[in-house]
Amino acid sequence: MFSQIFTLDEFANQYGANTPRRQFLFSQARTVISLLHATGQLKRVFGYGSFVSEKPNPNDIDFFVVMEAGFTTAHLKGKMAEVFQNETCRIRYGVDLFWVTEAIGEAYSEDMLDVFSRDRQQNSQPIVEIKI
Amino acid sequence: MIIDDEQLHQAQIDIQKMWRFLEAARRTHSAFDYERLASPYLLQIQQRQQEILEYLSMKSEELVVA
Repeated sequence: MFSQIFTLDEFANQYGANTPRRQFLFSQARTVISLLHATGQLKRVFGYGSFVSEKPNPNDIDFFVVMEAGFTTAHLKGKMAEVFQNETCRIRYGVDLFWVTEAIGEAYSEDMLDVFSRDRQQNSQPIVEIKI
Repeated sequence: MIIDDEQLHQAQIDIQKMWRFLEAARRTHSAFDYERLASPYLLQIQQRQQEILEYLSMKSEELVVA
């Protein structure tokens, strides 16, 4: 599965700067990524959907996140726990976050990236990886 | 919205990939973590199944108009 790789700053410049809506969403996404990173077990972050497009006012940001094998949310509390609960994360940060650990195996993660590489009308859409 | 058979077949393939993903996730994650991670994938499956049902409910005349 091909995906372009950005640093967080490159991702901000490319997708999070052009409109106030994009600036707001990116600031929210940065918070989410910080919380994910603070677990110490974040492996990979992929962005896709309308935010990774030329749409000036995307509704939200779609992330597919892979955590290290052995990661568990069982002991997380507060905001760090909230980002792993999709509905809470979407409402609080505008980030639609799908996650899994690498224990599932790379082939299954690749399958999900393939699913996410098409929109609901089955048109191809880009996926970018944010280098952590 | 699905508008032709090609999109129908792709939607079926995507649903099958999500099923398999969740089967594997359930085997490889604790019950607590599985419950947290599965919900958005389940919602995606539900939404896509609904689109398939809506497409398959349309008569051929309606498909031409669509």
